[in-house]
Amino acid sequence: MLKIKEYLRPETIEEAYEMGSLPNSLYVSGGLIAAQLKISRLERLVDLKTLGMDEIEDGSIVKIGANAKLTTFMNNPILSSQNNGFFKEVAKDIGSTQIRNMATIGGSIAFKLGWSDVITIFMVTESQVEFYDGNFHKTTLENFIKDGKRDQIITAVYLPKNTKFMAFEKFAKSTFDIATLNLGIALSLENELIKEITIVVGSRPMISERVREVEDFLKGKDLLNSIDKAANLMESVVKVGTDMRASAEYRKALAGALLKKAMRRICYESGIQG
Amino acid sequence: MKVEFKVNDRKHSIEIEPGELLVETLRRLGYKSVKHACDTASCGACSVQLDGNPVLSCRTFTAAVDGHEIKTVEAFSKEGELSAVQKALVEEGAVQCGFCIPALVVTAEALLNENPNPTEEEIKTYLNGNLCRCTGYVSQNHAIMKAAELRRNSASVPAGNQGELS
Ligand SMILES: Cc1cc2nc3c(=O)[nH]c(=O)nc-3n(C[C@H](O)[C@H](O)[C@H](O)COP(=O)(O)OP(=O)(O)OC[C@H]3O[C@@H](n4cnc5c(N)ncnc54)[C@H](O)[C@@H]3O)c2cc1C
Repeated sequence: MLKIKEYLRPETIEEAYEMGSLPNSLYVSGGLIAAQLKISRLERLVDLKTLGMDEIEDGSIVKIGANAKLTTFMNNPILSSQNNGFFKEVAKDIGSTQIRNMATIGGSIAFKLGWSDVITIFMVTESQVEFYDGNFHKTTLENFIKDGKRDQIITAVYLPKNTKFMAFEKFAKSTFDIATLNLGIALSLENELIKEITIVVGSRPMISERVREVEDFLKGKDLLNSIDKAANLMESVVKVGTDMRASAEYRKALAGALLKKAMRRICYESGIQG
Repeated sequence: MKVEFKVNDRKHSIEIEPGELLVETLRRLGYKSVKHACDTASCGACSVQLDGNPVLSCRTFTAAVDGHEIKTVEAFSKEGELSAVQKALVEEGAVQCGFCIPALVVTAEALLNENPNPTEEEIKTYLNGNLCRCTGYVSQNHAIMKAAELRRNSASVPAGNQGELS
């Protein structure tokens, strides 16, 4: 039990922000992280689920309400049919059924967890985050993560619709463990040459980050024949650290190996023969 | 603060602490099948259905379930008659110490409602958050496959003949 004084259920975003701005307040959506926080001075929880914001809306960009659960994200027919079923496939490896039924998209991003798969997935898709801090704003997830602020309310994530090839690789000690390292890649091809490319590495153990040196190296290259060189470059440039899960050295090797695996997966999916 | 919710179709209108967790409230109300175990959201022994979906009651604030419906394992046996899932777990020897079983039943019932004909792989994926230290999962997976078949067969039998299956 958290020793708090009040649990508030606001009806509007303005009301929620006002309540959240009171000293010693914390927003809660799925509650998975909020319920385990040991903050002795915490006085109030502000439940964001009462605001709705849980729809997934189709359009040229898919709008995902911040309170949409990971299960909703995984089973949504618009997303399931996009990018060769990528989103459904990757979401089912996050946590367990119970965790996906609780965890919200907003809660998965707001806490800026280093080991988040969700952040890597949305960053590699170049998604945008909409948030409220008295006014509504929209920015790339990459900028949202860099900005150290934590008091805004995330209201939605905007996922671009495209036909890029995508792959996500996660190395964990069991199916239900958090990642020792995760890696996402999204690319478009023109005559088997890489046209546009995004590569993100997460759980480094620091928060997910794009690896632009490897992206730049791969632009214009033949996908199949640049796998080994890209993996070597990844190992030398990726910024990783040591924690109880793995050493920095191990993570570097893992980043190279996961990049190879992801690129080979895309070769297979795009019909490029090796 | 005051909240109202249903547990196994029974309405409760009670006073709670604002930071109280659902596992604590349910056990206080006498639903002791809901286990307070790992406290790290990892074992699944505290699972209950919230509006039909399995969730972890150790990470659900009771204040957040105001106006909602909870189901614990007790919801699935009717007048002493075990559900198809429960019967199959017993018949397949899938219950040893029994600690994790109430939550396993709650999760498996939700799986079969969502997907009446799951593959073994789909069962494994759906239940990977329900840890069991005794059985090694094989017999549990068999039991759920068996229960799924039993449920499908009984659903396809005309209403008047359903008694013949039990
Ligand atoms: C056992 C376990 C295994 C897990 N495995 C994985 C995994 O494999 N991969 C992975 O990526 N994640 C994993 N997670 C992390 C999980 O996805 C997060 O705990 C979850 O996403 C948090 O979402 P929530 O809705 O429960 O957030 P909450 O706990 O409700 O909130 C989290 C934080 O974000 C703030 N917040 C919530 N919503 C908003 C909002 N809309 N705007 C602003 N601030 C907000 C809250 O104030 C709080 O500080 C795991 C978690 C557990 C417990």
